[in-house]
Amino acid sequence: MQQPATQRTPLIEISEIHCRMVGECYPENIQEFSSPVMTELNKVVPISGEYTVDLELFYFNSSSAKFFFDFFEFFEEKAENGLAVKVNWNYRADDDTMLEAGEDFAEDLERCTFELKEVPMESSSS
Amino acid sequence: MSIRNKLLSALVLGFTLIATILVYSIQRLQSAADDFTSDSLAQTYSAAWLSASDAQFEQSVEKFDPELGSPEVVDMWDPTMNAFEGTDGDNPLVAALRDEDLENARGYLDFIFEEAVDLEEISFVMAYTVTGRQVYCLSSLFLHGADPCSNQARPDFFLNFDSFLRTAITAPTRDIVRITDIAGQKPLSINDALSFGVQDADGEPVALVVIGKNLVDNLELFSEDFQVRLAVRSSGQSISLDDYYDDGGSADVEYGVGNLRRLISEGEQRALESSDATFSEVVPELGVSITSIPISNRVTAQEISLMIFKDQSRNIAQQQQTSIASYTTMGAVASAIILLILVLTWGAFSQISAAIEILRGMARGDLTLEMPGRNKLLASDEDEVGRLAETIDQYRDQLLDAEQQRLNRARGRQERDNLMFEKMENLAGELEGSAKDMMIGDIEHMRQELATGDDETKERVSIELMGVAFSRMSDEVSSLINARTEELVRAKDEIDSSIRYAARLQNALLPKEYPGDISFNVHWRPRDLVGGDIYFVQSLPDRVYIAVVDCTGHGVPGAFLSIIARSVLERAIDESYAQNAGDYLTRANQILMETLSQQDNANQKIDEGFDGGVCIYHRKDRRLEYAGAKSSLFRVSESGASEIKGDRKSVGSSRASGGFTFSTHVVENPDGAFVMLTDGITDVMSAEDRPIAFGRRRVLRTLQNAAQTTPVGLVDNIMTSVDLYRAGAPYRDDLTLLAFSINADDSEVVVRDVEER
Repeated sequence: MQQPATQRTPLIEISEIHCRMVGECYPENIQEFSSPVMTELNKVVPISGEYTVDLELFYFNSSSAKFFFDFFEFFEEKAENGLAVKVNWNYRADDDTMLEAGEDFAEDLERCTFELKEVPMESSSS
Repeated sequence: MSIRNKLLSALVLGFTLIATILVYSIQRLQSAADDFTSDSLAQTYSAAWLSASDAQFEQSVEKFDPELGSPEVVDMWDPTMNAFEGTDGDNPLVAALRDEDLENARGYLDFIFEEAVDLEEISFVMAYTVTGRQVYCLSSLFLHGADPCSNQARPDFFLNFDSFLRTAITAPTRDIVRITDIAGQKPLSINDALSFGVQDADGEPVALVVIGKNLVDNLELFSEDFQVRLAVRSSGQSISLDDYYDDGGSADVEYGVGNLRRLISEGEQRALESSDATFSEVVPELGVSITSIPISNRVTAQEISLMIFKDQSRNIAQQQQTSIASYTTMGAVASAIILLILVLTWGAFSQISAAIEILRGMARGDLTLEMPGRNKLLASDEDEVGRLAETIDQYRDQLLDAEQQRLNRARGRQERDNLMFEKMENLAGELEGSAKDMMIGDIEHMRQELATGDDETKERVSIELMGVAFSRMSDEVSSLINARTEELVRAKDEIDSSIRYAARLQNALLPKEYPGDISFNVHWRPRDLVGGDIYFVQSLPDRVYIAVVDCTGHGVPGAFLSIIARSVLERAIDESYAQNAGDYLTRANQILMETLSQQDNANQKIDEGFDGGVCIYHRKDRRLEYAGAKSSLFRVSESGASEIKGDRKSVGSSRASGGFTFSTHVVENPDGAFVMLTDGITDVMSAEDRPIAFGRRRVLRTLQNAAQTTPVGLVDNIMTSVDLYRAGAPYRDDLTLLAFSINADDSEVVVRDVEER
């Protein structure tokens, strides 16, 4: 799955070994945005081996925050069942909101490896 | 003249020409062959005749020749011998002749010739003295024609006797001698004669002897041998064997040859016309060939010729038959060829003519004409006409296709036109006045145009009709749209006024009065007219509840939820005990869960609820308690700015079950100022491509640097920073910023009106 960023949704890439999101997330209808992503993840993420999740978000609204809880819960379950999941939470040095958001998520994750990564302001991981 | 007629004319003309040339050539060839045949016939006859007459001459006449004759006869002419008596001495015959002793001379001559004459070996013998006196004449008893010895007889050599005598005396001479009966009683006698002189011992001529043999016998023999009839032409007159027998049978047919007189005159005519009177010619009308040859080597044919009449009727008939057969065959073949070509060209050209008619028909638009059937014996589909027919069929098929397409187009156009008319009439029905008249006029005009004219005109008119219909309809539609737009504007106005009304309602739910012992300043700004943010101040005698919450969603849905949230916040207040902030928030959570029955529908994860913080100020203890759901309380005091973080759970969230207990943060000695806010502040984004949220740290920093620490000053400060930060970028969310400070002097509670926003 490959979906370019829009004004309200991030770039999304999902494959059998890797999931990546970059951008802002505050869609009008969170359901419309989240459903295809979760469906795709259910379809392609393997039960064993290694899996990398790369996130670099600038902003997400509260509805999206709930989506990210589901998103991490999905990987937490996968990790519990034997998939080695590595989550890289990228944030810009100046962006304490995202740093804190990352910290919040990190607290909930036990099985996944969660790493907060400070990236330069002009990071171009797109 | 059509090509077919030209072709046929050329054909007939060509055949005629070829036939003419052929007939002419055949006739020339025939003529040449005839000439050849005639020449060879003449030569054959000539050779046969001459050899026969030579043989006769040698056998009967020549033995009396004084030089070439038989020895006993030769001796008889020798003047130095007396052969008669078998002694030497003078020849008595010579002497008698010299002496003109006629009696003795006759006796000796009789001795020599009598037997031969009697036996008809020779026809006559004459003897003359050198003076020309006849001394002896003996002729046969059975003579044909004039008797040479008669008084009436006139031998032809009499005419020039002297030269004849001189020649004959010098050397024996063979010649043709004609003897005419001057009385005209007997026919001409023609003889092969030998003339020679008799000499004495001195070599002096003493007499001339002429021995002749009538040619009649030869003629009869020849006639029989060659199955021909004969005539001898001499000095302009002719005689035939009939003349000698005088049986009047010249009209009879002999050897297939009749009418001899006519033939003789024909022969004489030809002899006159001919240069040498030697010829052989077939006279088809008489059924005979006429051949003329010299009767002897000694004379020319001009003088005396033998005419031979041979029956050629069978040959002529055969030739004619052959010719007729040839010409008939030729004619038949030519006719057959012409007929065949006639049939072929007739077939081909009638097909071509039919094709022309069909094409003309097609040009008129008549596609029903078919090529006529063809005779398969003489025609095939592969030949020119067959291909022509095939091409025409293909062409017709194309035309039929085109016609079908044209009809389809016309039908489609008519349907379309009818639809247009219907719509226009409908439209006209709805109109009034001059617009109606104009449209009806348009319709009438178009109908008339479409009723007449060819396809092209109809197509053009139809397109015009569409254009007119479209322009009329678009006029109407645009007026309709204008009407609709007005409706929409009205509806929007209604909605807007509804929303404005809702906003007024929501405003009405905001605190109307604040307790006098706490200073407030609030910046409440829904993104739209209404929003999910709400703040709540409830003053009880012993405590004051202050809440700032951000309900899920924004706009009207957010506003609905905010009403529920406000009700929940109200209902969660328990006056019966010293409810602390954590208890309060926990209770609010429970009530909200119950209200929205989210526990029952947990599986559906309807995460409706709110984030936010609540403060409870206990007046008596001068204690401020704080509980937060994903929210912080900021404090600005002499020791600087600080943040008191709440729990990381939302109220009403499926993640915060009804049993979740929010913790209470206590601020003893609550001096300074406090700031509560929703994420509408912290989530203000910078105006970059990859924006960064304003964040709590910037809030803290702003508070830290604030010169004015009054609620009003703090609110102004933060809003100024936020506005600078977003640099014109739109607000993404509702925002609420509430600052308060607890008055130091523990004065009594004063209720103060809230200033209108």
